[in-house]
Amino acid sequence: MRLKKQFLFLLTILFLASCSHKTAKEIAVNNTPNNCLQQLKPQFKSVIYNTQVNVVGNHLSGLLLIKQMSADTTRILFTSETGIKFFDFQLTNTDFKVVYCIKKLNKKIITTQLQKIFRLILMNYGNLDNYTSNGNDSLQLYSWKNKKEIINYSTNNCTEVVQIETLSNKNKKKININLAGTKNGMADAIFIKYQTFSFDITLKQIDR
Amino acid sequence: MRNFFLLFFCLPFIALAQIKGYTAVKDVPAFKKLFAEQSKKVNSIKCDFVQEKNLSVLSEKITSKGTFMFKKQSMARMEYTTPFKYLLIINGDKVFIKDEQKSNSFSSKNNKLFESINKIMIDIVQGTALDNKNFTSVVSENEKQYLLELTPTVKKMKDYIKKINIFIDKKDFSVNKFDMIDASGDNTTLTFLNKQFNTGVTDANFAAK
Repeated sequence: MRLKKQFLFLLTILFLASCSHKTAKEIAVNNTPNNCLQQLKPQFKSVIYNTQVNVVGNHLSGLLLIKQMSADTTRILFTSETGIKFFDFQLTNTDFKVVYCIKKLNKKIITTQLQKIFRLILMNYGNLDNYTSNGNDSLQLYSWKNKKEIINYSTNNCTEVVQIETLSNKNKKKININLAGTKNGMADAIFIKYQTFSFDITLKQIDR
Repeated sequence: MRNFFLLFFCLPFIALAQIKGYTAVKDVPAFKKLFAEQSKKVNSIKCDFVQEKNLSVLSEKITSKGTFMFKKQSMARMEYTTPFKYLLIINGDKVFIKDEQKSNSFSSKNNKLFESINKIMIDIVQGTALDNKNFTSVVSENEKQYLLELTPTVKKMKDYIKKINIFIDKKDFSVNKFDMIDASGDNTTLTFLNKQFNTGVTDANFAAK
């Protein structure tokens, strides 16, 4: 019952994801070509994150496995600590496939948002070559704007990605992702927070 | 009774159709009687466990370890210590969960899955697990172990679990291994080690804290 309630909350929340209310500062985007983001794209074989999800006062935890199956295919699987599998997604550069998903989570509005989060983290969201640099300070910002939104990657002097941010095309913040450290070719710790409603995910790599 | 603790977690576990090396038990009523008699001798269990989540298609295995406790009539504690910390306590119809970020308690009466588990638990304690209408069962054996194969009949459970295999030691009728096959075909096994019976377990171990 509790789980069902959580999923209903999640549905509602994700439905609201497109709504934004916080205003971000204007982003000055230069058209400086760069290959920094290409260099920082995660290079990994398989990682497992201890995962905590908070959705409008509801809490869920488990293990998230991200495995590189081939050059452009990644599997993302989430299970409870006791072994119950919640979902198993397959991601390629062009496709997204739900290999398995429990019924209560298998709603397009949920899987679409999860796909977006994973693509942002895996730096597989839009063509990285289209992102342009915004300045030469130590915290270099790389941005890409399409019809609907702006995507920002902040790097630490092009040594690692420290923050990913999405904004509406009216510069209203939507998703904020902070990353810390690198382990096994992926960020060691990741904190994802939606700015438009109470929804956050904390990921911390575990040793195997 | 000893088997109860496994069944308790049965909730998420299951297995294959015909396990190699096992043959059908011919006298199931006699097995049930013996099972019930042996269960009456155990008031508590304390042991270590190793859990393996096998993801066949991905060729991946997630291994975790911890301790397990059980005390009659319906108290169970499962504490994962490596490579993450996670605590699950069931005390009657109360469920307490603590992960690395938060803790939460709720009533199993509000959760049909836990309610089904409680029923299995009681059935096992009473030696009537094979009569549980939420599962169809097959009993087989080899030289060292009995094998209980439980297949859920209730749709709610079928959504998560395809089958549960429980391997029971013939020496003391304790559970050696618990194997749950989920709806997608992957399985999770729990292997119980260093089992201690009727010692070192108190009610305080099942307090929500």
